[in-house]
Order: sequence, then structure tokens, then C-alpha cells
Amino acid sequence: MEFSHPVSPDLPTDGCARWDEFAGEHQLPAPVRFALDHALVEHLQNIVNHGEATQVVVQFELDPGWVRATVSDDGGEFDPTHAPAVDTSAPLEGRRIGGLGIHMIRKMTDSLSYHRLPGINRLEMSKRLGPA
Amino acid sequence: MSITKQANGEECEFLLPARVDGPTANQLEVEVLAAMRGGFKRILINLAASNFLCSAGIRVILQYHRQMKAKGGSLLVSRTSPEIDEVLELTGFREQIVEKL
Repeated sequence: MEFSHPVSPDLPTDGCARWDEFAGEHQLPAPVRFALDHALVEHLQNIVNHGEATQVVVQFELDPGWVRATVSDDGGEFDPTHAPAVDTSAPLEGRRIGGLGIHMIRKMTDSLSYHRLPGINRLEMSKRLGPA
Repeated sequence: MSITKQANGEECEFLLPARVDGPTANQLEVEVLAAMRGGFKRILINLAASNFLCSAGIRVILQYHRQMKAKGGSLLVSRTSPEIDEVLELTGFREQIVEKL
């Protein structure tokens, strides 16, 4: 499944509705649906918040043993796989509020890869469909 | 899909819907600010019926947890579902913002 969407406030909600449709069609296990739902909404919300991109293309694909959500946007170069890690053991009072979205994307995926193509950020978020 | 509020004296509890996404997080922030202005000393966020919690929702809870604490009050998560437990665990907040019964 592939769809294109303008970068607008309803992008995360619309993107996750399409994911839900794809996951339902392919009867994906609940933990996989749950995890990529979170990862997808966090990444799409980051694209909306940064406000540089105007359009995204989202693809959902099945490979043997894996499901992958690929998001391409036309914003400035940004590699979330190199964003600073969040220290989840730090005391609450000193915890940085930013960076949580990317932390959740990392935790909710089994494989995360970023490619910079001419004028395009492409993030592939994958989840295993069975035991590692 | 809306937030329900239950008030009892100086305490109020917000019951959140299944999906706590960006729009719901924004609505929660408005409700929490109104409760703080209304003088509630103890605010509870009930996530027992929720199965999705995005980082925007966590940010609202964390931000107003700090503000309420600084004012001598409290804001805590009162109940969770297994899905919400998982999200709070992996972000490292579960032990700190879920009320201990």
C-alpha cells in the first residue's frame, strides 16, 4: 500500500488510519500493529512539527518475516537515527521533555534505517512478524 | 473519543479515551489547565481505557506533573492498561508518574 499526503495537522491521524487498514487486511499480530502505529504517528508528527516538508509518501510492505513502513518527505535533511539518545533512567525533575518521539520510534521498531536521497528524507521502520 | 472529568472536593480525575494522540493530548492540556485554574490540588489521569499513548500525551502529563508539584499539589496517572504500561515503561516514566496504591 502506498499513499501520498500533504503535510498538514491531520497527517498523523490519516497515516495511522491507513496503517490500521493495511494491518487489518493482512491480519498482522496485535503487538506489531501497536508498535508500528506508535512509531508511525511519532514520525509523522515530527514531520508536521518541524514544518519544513510539504508532502509525504508512505508505503507499507510485507517481506518474509517482516513488515515495513517507509516514510519519504521533502523536508531538509534530518536523520532521526543519529538523534541524541534519551536517558530514561534520569530523575524525573531533570528529564528533558524533547526527543521522546524519536526515542519511542527506536523502541517500537526492530530495524530503523535512514537514507538521504536528493531532496528527500526516507525513513524505513520495520518490525519482525515472528520471534527474533 | 472525548475526555470525561470526575471531580470530588479538591481532587479531579480525567478519564481518557482509547487513543491518546496529538489532538487528545491538546484537549488534555486544556482540561488540566482549567482544573489548575479551578483550584484542584490533586489531578489524576486515568488511562485504564486507553491503548495508545503518543509522546505528546506523555509531555502534557510530565509538564503538568512538574507544575503541580511546584505548587504543592500533584498530578499523577491513576490507572493504566497493559498497553499504556508498556509505553510508560519504555519511556522510563512508569515508576515515577503512576500513582502507587
